[in-house]
Amino acid sequence: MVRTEVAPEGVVQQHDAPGQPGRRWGTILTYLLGAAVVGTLAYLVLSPLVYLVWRGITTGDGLSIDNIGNAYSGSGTGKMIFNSVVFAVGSAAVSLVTGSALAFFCVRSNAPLKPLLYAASIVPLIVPGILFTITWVFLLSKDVGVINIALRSMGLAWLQINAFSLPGMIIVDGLHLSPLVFMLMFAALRATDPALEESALMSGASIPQAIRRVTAPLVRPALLGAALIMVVRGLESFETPAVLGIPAGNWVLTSRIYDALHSYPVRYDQAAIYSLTLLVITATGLIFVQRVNRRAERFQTISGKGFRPRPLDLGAWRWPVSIGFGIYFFFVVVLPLAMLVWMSLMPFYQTPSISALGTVTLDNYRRLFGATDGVLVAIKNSAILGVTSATAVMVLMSIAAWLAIKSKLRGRQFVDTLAAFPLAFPGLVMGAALIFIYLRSPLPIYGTLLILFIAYVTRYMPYGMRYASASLMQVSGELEESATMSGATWKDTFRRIVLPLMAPGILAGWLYVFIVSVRELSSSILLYSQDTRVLSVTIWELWENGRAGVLSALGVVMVLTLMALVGLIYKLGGRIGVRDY
Amino acid sequence: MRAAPAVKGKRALLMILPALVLTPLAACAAPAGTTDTPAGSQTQASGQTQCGGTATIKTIQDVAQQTGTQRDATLLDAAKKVNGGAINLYTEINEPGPLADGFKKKYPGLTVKLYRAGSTQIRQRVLEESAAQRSGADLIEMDGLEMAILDENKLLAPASSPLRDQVVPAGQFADFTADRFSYIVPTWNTKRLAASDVPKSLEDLADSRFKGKLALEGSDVFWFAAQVTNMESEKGMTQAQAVDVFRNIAKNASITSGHTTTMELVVAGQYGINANGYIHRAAALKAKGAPIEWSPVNIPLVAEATTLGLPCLSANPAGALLLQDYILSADGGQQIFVQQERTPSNAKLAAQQVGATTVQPIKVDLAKISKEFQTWSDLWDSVVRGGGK
Repeated sequence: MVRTEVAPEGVVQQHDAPGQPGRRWGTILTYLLGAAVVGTLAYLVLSPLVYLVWRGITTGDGLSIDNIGNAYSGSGTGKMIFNSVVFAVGSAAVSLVTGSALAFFCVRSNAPLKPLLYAASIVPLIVPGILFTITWVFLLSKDVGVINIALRSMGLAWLQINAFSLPGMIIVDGLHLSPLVFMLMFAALRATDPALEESALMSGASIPQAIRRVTAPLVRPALLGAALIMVVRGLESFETPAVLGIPAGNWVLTSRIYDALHSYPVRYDQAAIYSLTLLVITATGLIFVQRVNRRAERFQTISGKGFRPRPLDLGAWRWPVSIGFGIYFFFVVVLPLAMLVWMSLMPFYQTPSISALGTVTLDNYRRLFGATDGVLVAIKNSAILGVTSATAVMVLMSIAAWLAIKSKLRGRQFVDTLAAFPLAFPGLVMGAALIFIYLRSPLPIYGTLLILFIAYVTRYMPYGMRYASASLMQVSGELEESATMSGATWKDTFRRIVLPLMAPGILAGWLYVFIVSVRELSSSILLYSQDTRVLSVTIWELWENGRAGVLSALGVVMVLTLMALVGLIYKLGGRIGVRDY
Repeated sequence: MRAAPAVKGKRALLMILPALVLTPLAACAAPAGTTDTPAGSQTQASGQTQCGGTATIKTIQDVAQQTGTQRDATLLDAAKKVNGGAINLYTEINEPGPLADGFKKKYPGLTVKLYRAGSTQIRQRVLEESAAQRSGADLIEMDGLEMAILDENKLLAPASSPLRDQVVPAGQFADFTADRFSYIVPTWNTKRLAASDVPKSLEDLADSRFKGKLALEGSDVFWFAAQVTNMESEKGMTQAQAVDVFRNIAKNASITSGHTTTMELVVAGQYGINANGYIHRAAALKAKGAPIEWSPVNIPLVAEATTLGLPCLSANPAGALLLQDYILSADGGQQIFVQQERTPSNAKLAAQQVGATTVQPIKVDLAKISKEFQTWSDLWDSVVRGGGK
């Protein structure tokens, strides 16, 4: 006999099967969401571009072939281009190596105090640009650099490192931005399945071999994305090459862009030509990266098969690696921070010495906290802008990344390319474009926090995209398909499966945008008003006034505050997404 | 295998369409024929003065015959009626706090709203705002060269203040007035440069004893232009000869970027001497005990003028005039500048200034240098590119 059991009522919930009328609305809303995201993206990116091209055509000598030739001719251009390329590639290499190695160490090793480790790796990013460069000058300058003095006193006078040189420039800029790579690779490495590395080890590979042939290829999308950003950014970097390069006669192309934008009449045609060059380089690089990442399934480690990310036992390599990183931290984080603290305690700069200790004073801190000219307003505005722009960027870019990677939309690669365009616009051009556009807009945007918000979201979009796509590339389609077959809408799938799995990348991206938006200057200084003062302007003012001591005090306060924030986020981040064991 | 709803051609268009529609809207924002020729030149109406027909000119004319407390009272009255008594000051000044506070104390009911940035940014902003016919600044305070650019674009009202005659003659321009000067001189670290070694003249900076110790700030086009024109007129040199002096100096120097950076490095001892530093910076550091010195000054002294200008499109011209008067008054703004170790433009105070030297600044044709700025900039570029190491 066969007994048939019927499940009691209420156990199995009824859902509309795919294709039923009730689902239409949901699908239409989804399309609208996608359209809204792409529309916003296109508007934000293309409006400054249109402005730049239009201005380039209508002012100065225009954008003809002749003038493109003119922009790149002139004595010394060949050398400048060479310096620019060497500098960009060099600093990108430094960031990639140090950032990736640090991330690997942080994720894989059994090191204690991980939140502290994580926060410390990000410190170089928090220190305002000019301050970072100056602390390194005081560490590595030929005559008064602390490191060089120490080397001389240890009898190693032949080993002198000069900050004012091309190698010096490359190292300082590379170190300043290694946190970008660090956070990107950290997010990517969190999600790689150690089972693959273990298989390699069991098959006889050594640890370095396993890393080289298994781990590294798995995180290639993140690595290439980071490389692209670093190279383009290096080509566009102005400050470090100005302070460290010019005294040694190393001129880069960005000083030309800077001159073009500061002269009167503003040479928009030249600025446009240089920007469009950067744009072409960015787009080309991105196409190459997209090509390489084409076979997406090779990078998908988060799949239907269960896995548990856990530390790779470094075995005999543990001690050399730990010592290596100890040394790295000492030189890259501890020493500059110590220099910063020293500078904040001095009435005027003196090389650290016993006699100088006698002049230690808390004056700079007193000035900082007693400042009446709106430091508190600046902090408040920067905090608001940082949170809102970071959130907006990551929300927009998560959806855009999904569209670019997971959807079957024709021309979806273009979304990725579009999001990368702002890399090629100097901040000054962005600021000028936004002033122009919103002075004529009927909406109350000019003179408010909103115009700064728009500037930050536009500028940091490319970074958000790289963070979002790096972690999205690791999520296999199987998981979404299972959800769809179980009756979930796209919205459900995205919200409950894709987003949490992307969480490490999104969180890292959020943190990155937050930190750098506090430091963004070149657009902010054109766009702010008294009520919308931001911290970066205060930083700039302090430097322009010659108040390096007070600025160092501010730097110390920023580092401590943001380190605490980062550590907190690290702890929170461990609770969502893929669990750490 | 498909991921979520597969989107084909027509639906793809649904997504791209908004982008195609929205973008031209941004471009459409540009009114026809807008270039860098902003509003002022368009309001030339029937007035024989520039800015004809604006509230600014009207206000100036209203109080033209009034003096002293009557003028003050009329302006105060008018100023309170606009923007709740707020006056927008676009300024380059280092510490605007004391000025704003002092002004508020003198005229309760009026406040100063500050936009502080570099002169280049201020110039860009004012040009953009006037091109869009938007009133941004009520009063502008910035570098004379940049102010001359605004003047060229006919954006400024003719200078008008009862305190004008107290300003040194070199600071009185047709449409703007100097409120303070920055003196540029060589500054050196006393621990790295003995008193006997200080430069005896401009040409002396090319001497080999400064090799490896000399920093030349690389963006000071105005200083360069002023020195060269001075050498042409006072010493009868040709331009080529004068520029050669600088080529020799540049070859002997390290080119640095930014006055603050350069000063920090001189104080730190990385460089022994800076050819073109600000006296007031050195004075402030010296007061804190730093080993920095600038006296005796044996080279021609160039004074960079920071000037006050009243834009045609000012929304609160009465308030702006009051603020301008305050900044130019000996017991108001000028006194504050003295306390900040700056050189005021008030002739009497400038003569007594501690920190200034007894050397007189050379005469400079600001308007001419401003007009020829691109040429000077390119020339300076060629000079400093030859320097380094």
